[in-house]
Amino acid sequence: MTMRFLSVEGIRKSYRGHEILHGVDLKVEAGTILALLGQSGCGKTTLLRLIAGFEPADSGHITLDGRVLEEPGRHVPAERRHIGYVPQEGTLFPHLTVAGNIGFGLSSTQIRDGRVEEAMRLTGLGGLGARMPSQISGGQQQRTALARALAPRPSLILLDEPFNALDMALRRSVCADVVALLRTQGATAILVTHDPQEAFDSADLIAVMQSGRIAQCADPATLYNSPADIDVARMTGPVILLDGTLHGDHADTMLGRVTVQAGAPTSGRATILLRREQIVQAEPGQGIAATIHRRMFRGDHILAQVQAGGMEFETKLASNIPTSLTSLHISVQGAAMAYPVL
Amino acid sequence: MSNRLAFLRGQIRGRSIRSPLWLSLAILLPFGLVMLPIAYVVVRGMEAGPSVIVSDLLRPYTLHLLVNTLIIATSVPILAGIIAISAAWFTERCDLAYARFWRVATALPLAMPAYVSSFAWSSLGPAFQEMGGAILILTFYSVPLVYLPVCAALRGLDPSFEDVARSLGQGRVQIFRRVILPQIRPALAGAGLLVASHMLAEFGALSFLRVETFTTAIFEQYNAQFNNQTAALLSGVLMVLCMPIAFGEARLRRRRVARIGRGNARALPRLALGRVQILAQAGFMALTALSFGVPLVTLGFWLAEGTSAGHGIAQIGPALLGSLGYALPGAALTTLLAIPLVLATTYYRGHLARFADRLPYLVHGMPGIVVALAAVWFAIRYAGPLYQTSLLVLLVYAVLTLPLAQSSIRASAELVPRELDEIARSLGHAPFRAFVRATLPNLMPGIAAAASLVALQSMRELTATLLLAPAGTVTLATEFWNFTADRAYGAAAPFAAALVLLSGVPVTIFTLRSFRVDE
Amino acid sequence: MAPINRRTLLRSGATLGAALGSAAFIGRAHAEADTLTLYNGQHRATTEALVAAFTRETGIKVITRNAESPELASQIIEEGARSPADLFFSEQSPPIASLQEKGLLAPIDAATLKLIAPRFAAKDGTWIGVNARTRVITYNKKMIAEADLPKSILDFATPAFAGKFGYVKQDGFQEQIMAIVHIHGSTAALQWLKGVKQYGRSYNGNRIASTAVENGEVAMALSNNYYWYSLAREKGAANLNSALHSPLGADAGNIVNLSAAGTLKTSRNPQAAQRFLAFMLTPVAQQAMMATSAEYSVIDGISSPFNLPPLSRFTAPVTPADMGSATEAYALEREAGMI
Repeated sequence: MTMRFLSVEGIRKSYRGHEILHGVDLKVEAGTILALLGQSGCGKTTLLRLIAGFEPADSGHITLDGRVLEEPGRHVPAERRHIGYVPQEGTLFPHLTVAGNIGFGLSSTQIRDGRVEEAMRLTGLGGLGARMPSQISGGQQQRTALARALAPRPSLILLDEPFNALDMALRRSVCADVVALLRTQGATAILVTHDPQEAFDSADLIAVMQSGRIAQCADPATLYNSPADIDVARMTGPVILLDGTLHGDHADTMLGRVTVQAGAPTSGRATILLRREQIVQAEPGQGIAATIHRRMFRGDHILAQVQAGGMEFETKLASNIPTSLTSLHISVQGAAMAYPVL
Repeated sequence: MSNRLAFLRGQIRGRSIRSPLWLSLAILLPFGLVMLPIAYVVVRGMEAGPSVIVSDLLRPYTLHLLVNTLIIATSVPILAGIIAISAAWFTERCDLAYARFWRVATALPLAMPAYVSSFAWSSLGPAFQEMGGAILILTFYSVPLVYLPVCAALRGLDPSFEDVARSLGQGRVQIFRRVILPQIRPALAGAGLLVASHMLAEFGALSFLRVETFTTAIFEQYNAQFNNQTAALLSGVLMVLCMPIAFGEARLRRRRVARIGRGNARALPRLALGRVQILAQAGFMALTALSFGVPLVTLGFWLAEGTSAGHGIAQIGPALLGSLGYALPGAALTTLLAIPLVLATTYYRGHLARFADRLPYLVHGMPGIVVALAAVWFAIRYAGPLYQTSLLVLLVYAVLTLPLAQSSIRASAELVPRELDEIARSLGHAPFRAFVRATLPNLMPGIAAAASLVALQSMRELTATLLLAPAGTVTLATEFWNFTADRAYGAAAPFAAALVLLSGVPVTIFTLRSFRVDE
Repeated sequence: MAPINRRTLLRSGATLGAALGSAAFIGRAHAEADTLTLYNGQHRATTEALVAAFTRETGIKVITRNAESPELASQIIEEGARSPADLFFSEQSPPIASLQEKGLLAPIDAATLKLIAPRFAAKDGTWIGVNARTRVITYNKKMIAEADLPKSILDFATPAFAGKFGYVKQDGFQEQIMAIVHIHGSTAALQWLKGVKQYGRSYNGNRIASTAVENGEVAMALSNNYYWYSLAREKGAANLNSALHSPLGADAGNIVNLSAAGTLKTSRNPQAAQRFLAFMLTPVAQQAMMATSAEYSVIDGISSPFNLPPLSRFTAPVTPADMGSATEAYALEREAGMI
């Protein structure tokens, strides 16, 4: 049995009599980047704040690297946890320079030892040390916030939707920079986000949170291809849902026979879940007839609104199909998830 | 470079924008008004001739005045600042019991004119006179002026800063020193500078307490020599002393970083006081007793004791109406003059605007007699029909109180992005109409605060009212002066009490209202 | 009785005040033929009594502007030829003497000047004394025995009185300095001022100094006589800790000061103004003013309801006219580093 680096067990938290976290469990190995994915209000920020130690939990345990941070009757305050924290929008101290912000959590000895410069070099902020936060760009502000959290060499870094304030293009590149940096540092990190793409791009593991619980915690591919339930599936990308009847390793649906993933029930009625890219144009004479109602050119593919088998859904088609084409045949590729109808 | 400045100014991004014509014209009136006393001081001072100027300014007596003035103008803001921060910390960031009550109680000394409280204190004995007493009494008097803006700043803090600091291993004391204090420093220092300029101009209280400063010396010069140039020279020195205050305030503002759009999402955490609760309650009781209780009890004593009590009662009605009749239009006029000054510097750039915005702070430290005589000098020569009319009095009130209005309105203006105005323009409104429809409604909290502060201050004004109001004008302040000049404390007490009561109403409403906004 | 008198006066004053207050926003009342504008630095109660009696007798209305005398003098000088003031009634003689020295005052009718002794008027007849009061030493009976009181105010400038007395740099003090200059010379006056600065406590008003003595804060104070009497009226003379003392003979502690009045050259109503000045010296006016403040009448045959010692007791050989606007006193105070 491997020693868990961060272990969160049975954490509960209420505000004004309203329970936000209903017993959360989470294990994170050292050197892992975990994304905490969920819609706003699911409790992911609250969980992050409890791990950081800003507030005590109502019940449950948190241990980090063998050290108990939280258990009934014991609460180690944030300032003694040695956990780095990058809040939404960076939140740089407006009265300090970039270097002043980065050195904020360092002792004067550590500052003399060049830890600020080191953190600035790592984060590509060289030469900006004397600037005020208002004088640097949004991406630089975000990297400063990261450098500030990294400088004291924390055992864990928490990032609370840190890229929210950035525009889309910048967001992807800053996110990639940050992840690359965390990986070269071998850091253990938890990244809170509501953007599945961001979670896929950055994380080794993704924990999907729904109404105060962890619904599923798995690597990105597992999560995407084998979501634990329909809600998790929706959280991680667009879905196509079909009614079906299970027959062993396949199901009969309005789109014809669909292979079902191993481990699913083998009989009875079920909801069959497909991803958009599983619908493909069939060879002539095969598949089912479909009509294209609307199409959007997306460069590498065409997003098409398609009617087939008495239902309408969105699907991705190859971008080279002729614009005059309005009817075609489609078929389902790969195995689908099946959830029994209750 | 312009880009960098634009960033610092918060709302403006990228380019420098000239103010619309109506605004440029609208700042000319306050600018001209404030220039008058400055011109008067320069003209009268120059009449003395260079040798007199040098010998007058280099007298040991001038040094004595300078030392006293600087001691008062530095120690009072510092001590008041310390008390105000502690009080604000307890009412805003701790689970202080009866916090609502203590907020009002801490703000109430604002309703007590300094000359009433110093008169009350000095009658308790010599221990409360001279420098020590003056610092003590004026500190208590000044606490609310710092307390209210510091409270506002504390409530406006984003709690994430404290989270970040904690995650970086900082304890409570360090967080206060390294995170909270630097963020409330602009509010704190701005209020401190305002208190300092009040101290430069303070006359009534210091004369009761027998402390000689430039302002008391200026009055003394007028008493001894009737219109001599030495008074003008000393006023010139006062103006120079005001310069760091005027420009220091501007620098502080430039460092302020406007945060638009996001309020703090989470409520600020409050510290549990536990056993310190009782000590805190005792501290607030002591503060209230010292700053408001002592003068109030003394007033009550006068009301009850003096055999002359009741003689002036018939005047109360007219005096009350007189005070309101000047203070309310004065507040309206001053606010109206202050709005363009604030807009021109908050949203636009321009050297004249910035200069015009600073000037009132220079004059704010000048004693009322100098501004009043400047008004006499100007009005009798160039605006005869205006002389000794109510309008002239109101204009002098404006000159004396503009900075109070500017500071309050600016606090609101900095929260209102200029884009609002631009959106209104894009929807087809002409510049002035755009301002009235889009920006002005959002400035109302600041305007209301400005008007109440100016009204409070104007109700206490004495010298300009006496010299410039139409003959026969009575206000609570003139009647209080009249009866104390006759030694009839008992007869004077009802007027002081009415002044305190009348001032107490806006202070209470203002305090409750400003706290309710964020709760 | 005085209090009844006063209450009536205040009531009529209140009505007047209300009327003017409501007119305040219409604008300044323009001088009409039968209206005078009086800049009044004298205690308001005194002047109100006077003005009410004048209007009753002549039908001439008087618009009064009340403020401190030196401020009003400064205001009239700033106003220059355009001053709306017809009359100036000053609490002390130096402010009005400063207008005299600047040539702003008109000569007063000879008939009026004849009503008072020459020592109570300007030498060029441009102002008249209206009330006389005396400079006194107020002392606290519990803090200093009568026998230990100074025989001359010059004694204050000696270490024996260090910390025992208070003084006020305005309102009577400069007249006292001028008296020392007249009796003993400028050098002696400068020496005295240096001593007073060194050994005395400075107060910012005669009534504050008088109260300080009454409250036992300081043993003695140089003051004007009427502050003590007003305190005595408020609390009862028998209940007071303080009493009055004046050195005898040709001492500067023994001087008579005046409140004084004059009319401006620029008055638009000189005849009415002269009538007002003459009226100030009539027995009825003098009697009315005597009721409100413990001062002496400048004309013969009027007695004060206050228990005042006779004016003839104050025998310093110097008159208010000798003191002028006290320019020299100001120069000496500056030289002594006092102001």
